[in-house]
Amino acid sequence: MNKAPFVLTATLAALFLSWYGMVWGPASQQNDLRPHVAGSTIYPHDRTGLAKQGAEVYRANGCYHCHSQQVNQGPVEYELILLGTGVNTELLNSMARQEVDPGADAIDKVKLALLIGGDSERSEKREAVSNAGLDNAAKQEVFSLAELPNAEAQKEAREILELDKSKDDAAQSAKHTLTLGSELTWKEAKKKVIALKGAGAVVMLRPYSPENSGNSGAWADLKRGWGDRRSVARDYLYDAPAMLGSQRIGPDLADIGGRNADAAWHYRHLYKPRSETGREKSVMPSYTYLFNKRKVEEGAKLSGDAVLDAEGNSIEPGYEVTPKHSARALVAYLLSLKQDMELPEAPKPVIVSKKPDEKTKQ
Amino acid sequence: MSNEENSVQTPAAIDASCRLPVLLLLASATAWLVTALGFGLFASLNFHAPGLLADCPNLTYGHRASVAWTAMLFGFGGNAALGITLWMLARLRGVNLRWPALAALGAALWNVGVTAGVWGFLMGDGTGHGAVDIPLYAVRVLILGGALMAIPAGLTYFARRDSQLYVSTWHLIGGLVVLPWVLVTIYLLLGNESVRGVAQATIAWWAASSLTQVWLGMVGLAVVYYFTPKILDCPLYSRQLAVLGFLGILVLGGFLGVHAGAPVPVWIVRLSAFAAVLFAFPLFAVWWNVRRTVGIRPFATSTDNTLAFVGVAWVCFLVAGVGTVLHPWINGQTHFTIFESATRQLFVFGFFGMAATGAIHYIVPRLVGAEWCCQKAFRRIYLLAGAGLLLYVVPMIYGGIDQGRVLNAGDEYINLPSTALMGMRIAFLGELAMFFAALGLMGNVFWAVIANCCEGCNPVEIFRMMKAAREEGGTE
Repeated sequence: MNKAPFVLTATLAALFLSWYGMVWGPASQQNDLRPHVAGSTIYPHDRTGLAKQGAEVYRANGCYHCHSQQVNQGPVEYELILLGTGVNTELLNSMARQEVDPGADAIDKVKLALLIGGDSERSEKREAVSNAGLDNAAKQEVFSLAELPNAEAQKEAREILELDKSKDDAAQSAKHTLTLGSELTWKEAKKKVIALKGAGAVVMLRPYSPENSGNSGAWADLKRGWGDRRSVARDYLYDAPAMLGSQRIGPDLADIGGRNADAAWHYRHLYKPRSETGREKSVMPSYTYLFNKRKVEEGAKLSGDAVLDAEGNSIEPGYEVTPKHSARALVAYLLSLKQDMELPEAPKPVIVSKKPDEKTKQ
Repeated sequence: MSNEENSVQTPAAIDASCRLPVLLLLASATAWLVTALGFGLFASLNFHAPGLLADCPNLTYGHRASVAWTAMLFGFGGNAALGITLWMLARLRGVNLRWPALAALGAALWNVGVTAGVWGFLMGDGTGHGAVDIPLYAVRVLILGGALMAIPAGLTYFARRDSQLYVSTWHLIGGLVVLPWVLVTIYLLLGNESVRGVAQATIAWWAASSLTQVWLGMVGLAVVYYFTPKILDCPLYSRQLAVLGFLGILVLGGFLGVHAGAPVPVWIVRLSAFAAVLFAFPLFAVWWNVRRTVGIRPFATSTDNTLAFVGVAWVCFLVAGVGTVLHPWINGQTHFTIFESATRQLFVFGFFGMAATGAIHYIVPRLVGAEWCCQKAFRRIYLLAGAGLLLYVVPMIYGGIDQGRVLNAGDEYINLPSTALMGMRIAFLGELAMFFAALGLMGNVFWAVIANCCEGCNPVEIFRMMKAAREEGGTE
């Protein structure tokens, strides 16, 4: 490091690394990102009119110094559930190759279900069942998993498994399923689903609800109701600037429009942040300059857009307070802050029961 | 370029060559420090009186917070870093500063740029890009001013080919390269519609991190590496360790600070966490290098004020650095909290600010050609700044951790929790102490400049002459 040009070159090269990683890389990746299209809904879309002007008010007043716009969430875990075995032995091959590894006990059940759903002789099936020595619940599972094309086949299978006819209805309503794996990451789950679907099996993926997951801090935002799911890059596609914020002096606003769509409340809050019970100690500044204030006679009728307190009286007794254009714009912007659409990269992590995919069932 | 110019100059001649631009930069730096801390206090007032100035559209909390940070980063940090760079480059290369008039013009423009930025915030022109929300028209002036100063700096750097480059020289050059790169990136990409969504946020994170960790970090470390061996008269322990620290900070600095839950592609989060862990290497290099050079005791026992400031700077660098390395593990609790403000202040004021003050304490008397009028004042500034820093950082860290606990509990969150609020109230006293320290620094620097400028315009001399004349008149 004794040559002046060498030091200069080394510096440039070293700096290029972080520039490439943090500037060029993200910029080109975000350039390729497209809105999500689901049926006739496109998400996200650019703000228009008043809400767009409101974003300017939010920016110009530096609201991003105290409010973040990003809902955090811990990593989603998935449970992989087998609903049907399919009709060929490819599923067993797949398990033998350890693409899915549910344990010996489960493999036996799958084997039996395939046998019962298959074309083998009745006596052979009966023998296999008696050899397996299953209890009633396990028999129910096997019955559910087997691909039985019609009522006749179901009746026959029930006889072979010696399932009690009287418990039929209960057995039908409580579908017995087999868990092939839990606490899976999306990557692991995806790999397994592809393998299983390729084998003709019917499977279901279940994202875990926050309550079931370990790291409580990461789930705090969802528990608190700041959003239904985590914020992802796609949510900000049309934001310029993207005001993610770095401080939570006040609450997160990523989904404020979904959480509180009451415009009157927002006007009241901007004018007198400490007027509500529970908010007396709030440190939010008042933004009275966003409003017009006019003295009125006591009992006089207030205009339709006057800012009222929770009881319906004028927020400032003896005055009529009406929002200026900038206040209307700001509230329109706040109400436009919604991250309500479920995205492929951001599922809403509550327990969902999906119907088995029809296509894979054939 | 004549041979005579290429030969080694005496320190006095070098000091004389950079008098105008460096004094201009360092004096403005102290004024901006007062402005920054003043606006910081002004902004913090809102936590004690939230209804303050509710009718004034130009002075909302957001405006004040933006002004405070920009005045700190570009006003104080920028002026001080550039002033130190110009002077130290000339000294280390042993040549006169080239084209000092151009550098002075650049310095003036730089201050015009910062002023335009501050004014722009008050007019609501902040761009909204996190910590680099300075209006783009101000960035344009900063780029121009910076370029005008970079030309003399570059010419000075390349003036001699024969000598060995001292460790501090690399750091200064590193800082000189980072600055235009970041400013041009901000100017071209953050105002550009083709950069979409969260890419703007990552660019803003990169820019903020590069400006603080890398740019201010480089200049601050140049100060530490320059003054510690010089004042204690012992050679730096290891050049190899310095290379590790230098390249480590250059490569890793820009990646730092992305938090785990950020709504960006996950590879960015992982990359940032990885860089934070690797940051342990340059951190260790800096610690061990200075530790082996001087030990710890001289910093505490030396009566030299410059060394005292540099010692505090070194400790703050290490503490802030440990925070950086631990960031991937602690950010789940500390992100979004006032903890982050505390660590930022620890780096910018504690590390860079203290290092720069030490440098100012050394440089200014040599440029004006006279000792400080009162050495004791610097002991007081030192104690006041140190106490203020402690009083600011400790309660904010404590309050921030508790704020993080409340945020992570998942209960309803409307107000800042009372511990955090209490932390901020105590920190307000710290801010007050730092403000008065800055005021003291500014007073001393301005006095040194005013009291020692040319005879014809020296107000002190004029005052003395007037007083003498009046007394003469009285006795007659």
